[in-house]
Amino acid sequence: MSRKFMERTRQLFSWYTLLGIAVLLAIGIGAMWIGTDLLSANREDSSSSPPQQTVPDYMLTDPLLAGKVITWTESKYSFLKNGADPANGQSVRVESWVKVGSDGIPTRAHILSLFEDGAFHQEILVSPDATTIIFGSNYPDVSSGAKTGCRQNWPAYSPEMRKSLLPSFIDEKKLSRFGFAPADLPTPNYPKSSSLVNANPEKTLESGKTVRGWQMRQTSDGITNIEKVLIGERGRVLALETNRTDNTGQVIAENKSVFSSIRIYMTKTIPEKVFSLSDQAHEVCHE
Amino acid sequence: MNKFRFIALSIMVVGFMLGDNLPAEASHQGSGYSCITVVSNYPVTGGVLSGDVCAKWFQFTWAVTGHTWAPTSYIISTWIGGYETCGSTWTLTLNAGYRDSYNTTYGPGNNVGGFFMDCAQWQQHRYAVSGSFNRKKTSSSSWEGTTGTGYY
Repeated sequence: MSRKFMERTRQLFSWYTLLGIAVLLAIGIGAMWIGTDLLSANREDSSSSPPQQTVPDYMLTDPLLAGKVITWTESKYSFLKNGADPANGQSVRVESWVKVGSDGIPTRAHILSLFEDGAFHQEILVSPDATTIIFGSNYPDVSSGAKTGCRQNWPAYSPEMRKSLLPSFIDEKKLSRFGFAPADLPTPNYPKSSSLVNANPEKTLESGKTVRGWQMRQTSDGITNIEKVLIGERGRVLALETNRTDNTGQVIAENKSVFSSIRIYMTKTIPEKVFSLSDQAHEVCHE
Repeated sequence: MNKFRFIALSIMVVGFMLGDNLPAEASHQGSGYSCITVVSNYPVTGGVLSGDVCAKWFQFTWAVTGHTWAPTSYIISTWIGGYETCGSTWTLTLNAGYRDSYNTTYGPGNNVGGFFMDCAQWQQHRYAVSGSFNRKKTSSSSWEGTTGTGYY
């Protein structure tokens, strides 16, 4: 009886010892893994995913645009400290043509960006299946070894990315909840919209009508962010300005955009050629 | 379940945990990088070429790199660039330039870091990393390779 009891106790002890070792080993390795990640995150504050920017609920989708072709022009200045883009610290004129599906998601887009002197900067063609980008000759030559020519075939945009090609509309009633306050902002010089086709637009959303200004300022960890926005008819963003400075007041990043009127066309009145590459792109590519 | 089965199961669990984490960390060339294979099995003389692009984010900055794998080559040349958009055009914010590796099957790109650009609160801020992955089999042969891009 006593011998059996001893044997049984030894067996149980052996079982629990093994189980204990396995659990401790698993917990130990898990803790080491998590600990290493946390230490690394604290030390470098690094993350394997980009800073998330969820679309705030003051964004509107204008039903006027669904099932139409729209065009507008953006006058754009952007600066980034040590930025590598040939247009860094310069102004460009960006002309957009977007065919919007009945669900409000763009099905085609053609974006042409030129420097103020008319020199080619960049051109993008977007469809649900493909994205073609032509970078101007001031960009690094990445085709010297590769036989890709100057056309870059990037992966197709997701529907969410295609939505970001649309002009922005904002519900002003909700803006103050996101840190914006009404502000007197200077009236910008609005660019003219494209004259690529002769067709008459079904409707035009004019810039400069019933303009209201909003401003937001946030400071965190010595970095100050300022956003300014001018809002017009139907809540459309007519102009925006973002500015990020460090604790010495030095500018890290700055963007200024002013948008022309939006011309809205019936799809059938717009020729397919507006969704093909410009002559300038063919010249840049020696095609 | 006997004792040996239990030991075997414990080893498998621990092995699975190790297997799931250590190789991934090793392939990212340092902690925090998220890599995307953007070129795979591109035919070149003597085999196929592959390439990946990698990015990681800090509080106000980000960094990019990438790698090329090819059959034994006289030279492997890798270019990496980081782009950002707020919705319309793409801005080249990081240019790592070309990095060459000789007499090898593996060519890492340079690492480069810098500030990321501003988008307004309501705009979608998207990141893309492009790579140009190239090799020469011998010093006298011509370049072979292609480009690839991944969105983040």
